[in-house]
Amino acid sequence: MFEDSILIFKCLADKSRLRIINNLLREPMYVELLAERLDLTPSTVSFHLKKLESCNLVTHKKEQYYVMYTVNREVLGETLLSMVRTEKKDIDEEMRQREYRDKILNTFIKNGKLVQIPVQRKKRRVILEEILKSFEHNREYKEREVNIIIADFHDDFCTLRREMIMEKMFTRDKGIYIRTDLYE
Amino acid sequence: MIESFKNTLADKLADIKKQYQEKEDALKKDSREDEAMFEKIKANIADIYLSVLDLSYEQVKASGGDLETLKERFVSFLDSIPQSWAASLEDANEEDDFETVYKEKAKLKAVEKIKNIFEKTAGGNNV
Repeated sequence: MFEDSILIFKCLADKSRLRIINNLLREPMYVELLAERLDLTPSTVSFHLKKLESCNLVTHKKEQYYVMYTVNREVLGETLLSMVRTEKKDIDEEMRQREYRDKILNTFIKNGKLVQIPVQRKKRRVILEEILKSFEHNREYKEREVNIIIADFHDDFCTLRREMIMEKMFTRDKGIYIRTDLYE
Repeated sequence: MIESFKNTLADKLADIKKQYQEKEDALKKDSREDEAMFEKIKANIADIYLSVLDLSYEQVKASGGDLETLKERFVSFLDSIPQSWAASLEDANEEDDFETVYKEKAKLKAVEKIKNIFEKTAGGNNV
């Protein structure tokens, strides 16, 4: 979507192409007529039309002896706002992340138990984030309490606890663990 | 004789190169970048053949050749250099790459113009 907008802006940043569009807005035309009206060679007009067509700004249709070009009013009618906004892109990325996360959780957690600690850091972090949900914000935990909660997921609670510290999910001071605000 | 021919042809090639460059500048000022790019391509071709003429002249002079040798050498470059552009044009046509098609066409058009200038300078069809 964003890439399409860039192509359209680049395509429109040309005086000859803007003049062609203005003429086509009045009526559909063929290359030679446009060339005559704009005092350009047919070859130049043809080039610009191909460029406009590559951005879906014009379309062509064969009519008897001529190829008639028409403005694509649907694309040309898009507002600048809709062309510059990135919201859709952000939503797509968010959905992609959520799908990835769900896939990892379904693979590694069965019936609430972690079947295996993922080797890949990115996957491991997804698992650690899931375990972290079992801990409350603004609460102090003794190491023994942390171990018990993590052991509910996997027997190797020491490794997981250490990994959670490394990922800055907890602060640790004199055996007291407090959940940080870096993760939701 | 050979020097006079070389200088006359070089002046004419420099002149069309200048024309292309002036057109390029004017088109740029008029916010017509793509058309300006095609003129730039043509100016580059004129520049290439200015170098080719210089080189041919030096080689012919060094080998004691005459005017006809210079003409033959220059014509051989007019035929050989554009061959790769024609091949690229064909490929671009097959691949529907219209931007390359127009670029290669601009090069070949400039060569045609240079060929005409050469033929007129050389005295018609006697080359």
